[in-house]
Amino acid sequence: MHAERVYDRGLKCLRVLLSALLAVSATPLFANSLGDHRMSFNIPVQAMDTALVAFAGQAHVQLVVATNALKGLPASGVAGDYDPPTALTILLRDTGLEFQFTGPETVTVRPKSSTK
Amino acid sequence: MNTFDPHTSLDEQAAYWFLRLRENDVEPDEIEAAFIWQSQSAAHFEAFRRVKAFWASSSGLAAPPLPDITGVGGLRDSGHYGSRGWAIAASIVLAVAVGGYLGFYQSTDKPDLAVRGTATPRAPVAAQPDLSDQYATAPGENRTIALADGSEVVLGGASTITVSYSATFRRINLVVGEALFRVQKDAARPFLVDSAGGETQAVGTVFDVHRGVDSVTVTVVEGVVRVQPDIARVSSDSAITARLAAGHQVSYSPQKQFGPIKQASAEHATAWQNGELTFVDKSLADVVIDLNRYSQRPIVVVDEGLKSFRVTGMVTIAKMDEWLRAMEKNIPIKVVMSKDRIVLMDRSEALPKK
Repeated sequence: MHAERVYDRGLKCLRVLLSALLAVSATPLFANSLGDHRMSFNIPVQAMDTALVAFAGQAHVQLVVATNALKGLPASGVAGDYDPPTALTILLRDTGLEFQFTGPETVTVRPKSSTK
Repeated sequence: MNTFDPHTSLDEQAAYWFLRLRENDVEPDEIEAAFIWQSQSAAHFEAFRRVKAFWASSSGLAAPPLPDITGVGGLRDSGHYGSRGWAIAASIVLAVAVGGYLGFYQSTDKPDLAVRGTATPRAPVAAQPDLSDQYATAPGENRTIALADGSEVVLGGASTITVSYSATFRRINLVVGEALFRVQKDAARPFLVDSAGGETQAVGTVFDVHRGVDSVTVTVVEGVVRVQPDIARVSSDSAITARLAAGHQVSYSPQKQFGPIKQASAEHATAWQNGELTFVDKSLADVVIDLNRYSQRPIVVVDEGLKSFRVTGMVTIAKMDEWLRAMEKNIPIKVVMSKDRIVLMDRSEALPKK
């Protein structure tokens, strides 16, 4: 009985792990669908929180981030024609932050996991 | 003073004001007169802009501090004006407002608005008893309401205002929600927006008032407004009155003092009109109040601790569920969607206890 439950738990963990892996591997897929769309960005130098909101507004992608993850970081701006993932990559360069598209038009930003 | 010979071209008149504004002995009421001159029509505004551009290109001077009397240049043309130029412009705009409550209409690079500001003056509305009308929107509904004086209110989802006009004032009460006001110029009747223990005064401007969980946020899109919490009137402490120019934002609450005046994107603050909600470092409680004004199903936060979690982001109203799912991946939160409501709970609470 007890052993069975442990086994169940193990399976569950495996499932969670698998789905997480799938989510990660799916990211480039979403990124690619957006990658075809170069658009004009004009995000001046400012605080990272408002810069990210500006990015979301200009790219028309949904954004969600825990404010405390941004730690009051400044953002160097982005200006020019880019696809949204590239623009976001530039915006987050050297900040210790990373992004993940959780859907075709929805992105989250968080601190880089220490394994990377 | 300052009446021009009818043969003087608009450009010459514009040049006069342009140069006058640069002189050291320019009087506050001349700055006001320049405002009024420039706001007469889109052509006046354009002439002034032309002279300014001509000066900048021909003198080759790196923008000596010219008061940007449009008040919007600093915001829209951020490429041309550094923040210092903007500060100067803002201070001039504010200086004008300090003299009293002056009736000027902020011209703009949007011709429709500029023209509206100079339309043939409407006949003064006859003195009326204090009639109060109420307007309310359903969740998810944005509605534009034309008021008797030509002003316009864009009411956000699940929002309510009452409107009462008299011969001496135009008074709106934002009972709940959010509204964007485009105010028709009428110096004789200030436009007052009351909300949660504070008042925003305008003469001819565009501004957004947002009522949150425990504070009210005012964002100026064009022109200048004055924001005064009720306690300022009671305590006669005039120091706690904020004068805001375009691109400025302030929050107040009945309990707490004024927050600092911040630079804020008018675009972000009014994105709700286009079905997008933006949040810069807001508590989850505040975010959920706004989402609920557009959500088909009520969203409920069950854990008190979660309500103060700070969130930054942008939500497309039509894709709110997708946004909530994204939040679940990024924030220690569990989203439970059922047919008639959406529950947000602390993820640790959602896990079976050991």
